[in-house]
Amino acid sequence: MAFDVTLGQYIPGESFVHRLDPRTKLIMALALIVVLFMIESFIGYLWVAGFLLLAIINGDIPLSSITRGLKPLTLIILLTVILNIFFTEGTQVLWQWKFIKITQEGIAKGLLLGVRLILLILSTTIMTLTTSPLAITDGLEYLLSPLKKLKFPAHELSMMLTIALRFIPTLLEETDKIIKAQMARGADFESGNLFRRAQNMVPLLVPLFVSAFRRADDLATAMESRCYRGGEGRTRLNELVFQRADYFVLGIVLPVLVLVVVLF
Amino acid sequence: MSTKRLTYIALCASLIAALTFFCVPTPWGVPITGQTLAVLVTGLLLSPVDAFFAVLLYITMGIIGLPVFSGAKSGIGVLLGPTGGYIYSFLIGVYILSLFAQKNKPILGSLVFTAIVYLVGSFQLAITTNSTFLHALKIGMLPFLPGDFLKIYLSFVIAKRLVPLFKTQNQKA
Repeated sequence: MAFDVTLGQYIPGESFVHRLDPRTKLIMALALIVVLFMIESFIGYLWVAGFLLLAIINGDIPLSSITRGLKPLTLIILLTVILNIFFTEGTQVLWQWKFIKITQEGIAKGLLLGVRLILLILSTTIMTLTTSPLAITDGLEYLLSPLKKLKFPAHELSMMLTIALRFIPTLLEETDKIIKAQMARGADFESGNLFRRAQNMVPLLVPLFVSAFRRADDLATAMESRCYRGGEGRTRLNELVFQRADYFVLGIVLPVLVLVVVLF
Repeated sequence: MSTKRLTYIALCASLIAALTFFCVPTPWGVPITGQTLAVLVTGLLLSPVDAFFAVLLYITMGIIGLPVFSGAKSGIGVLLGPTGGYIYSFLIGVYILSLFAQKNKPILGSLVFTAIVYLVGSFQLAITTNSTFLHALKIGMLPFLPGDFLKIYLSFVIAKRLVPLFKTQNQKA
């Protein structure tokens, strides 16, 4: 593997944005999504864009990682813009050919929706670029824990997420090892028709699944012998604590965003 | 939720993620990824709720930035994009597959699973690319169908070998 799977998109850093509590960043990303759906003017978007730009500059996020996040949506963004430009009814007709006409309203609406999509993706991308997956998992557990009263397994989910994150590299390594081991025993993954080739995968996949389940078994035993009994009354080594920066963001930046919605 | 259930769900989620990197090229150009295969095996072996959680974990991993969607992609953009429907439809699909599997109708279950994934997936493909549903089915389903039948076949072979192991281990617990 050329990249570290467990880190994902995360780019380590020490900036203000990086050091924010993961809960703060989750709340802000969610708030931005809501705000973006409520704003319907360019001035409002400009505020959000400015805010995101500050986060990008502060977090020292390279442009290439941002474009990578936007890439899967390029087609949709372009289509939204183009369709809205051509098919929005309006009074200010700028250019017309048979039933297709470009109106001022159409251009405005197309661009508005395009900008909204880009900003939507940006707000979540910035969070995942500046927060490690484990930190996000922790933050999610804290934020979802009120739902425990409704029997939602918040602690269990984040524990499972942590375990899954831990085991992906192990399983990848294991796959590689099994492929080599079976090839050393004369397994052939490259010749024969497709059905034959699929069948040749069986000696590869069965050991992989068996070893994964064995690991799950061992892990459960290990956890239980260390007296793991779910989230109740569990303490942690690193508690998430809101710092002054988090109070600043949640107490000042968030209300400003709400104000933007009200004003624009 | 017992510790054992917890670790089994977690390991199934990481199997789905790990097998997404596992790619077999085919003569007709569309590679077969192990992702669906792992989802199928999960559905065949785990209980409906557990299988649902395993897929939910896999999708969450993708959303929080791990490159676990096919083509080493990640992020919420993939789910909102043209091919997103083929991913989140696993959630409903795997639950139903597992329900069928528990009633000893795994073949019907995997066919229903495949149908759900393609209906939801192609629906989103059609909406996001503004084409007709039929056209979306043609480009989003036909090239993948042969590979899917292979995967269903493989998942049966694998699940069959694993079931005895599963039973003895769960009796021990």
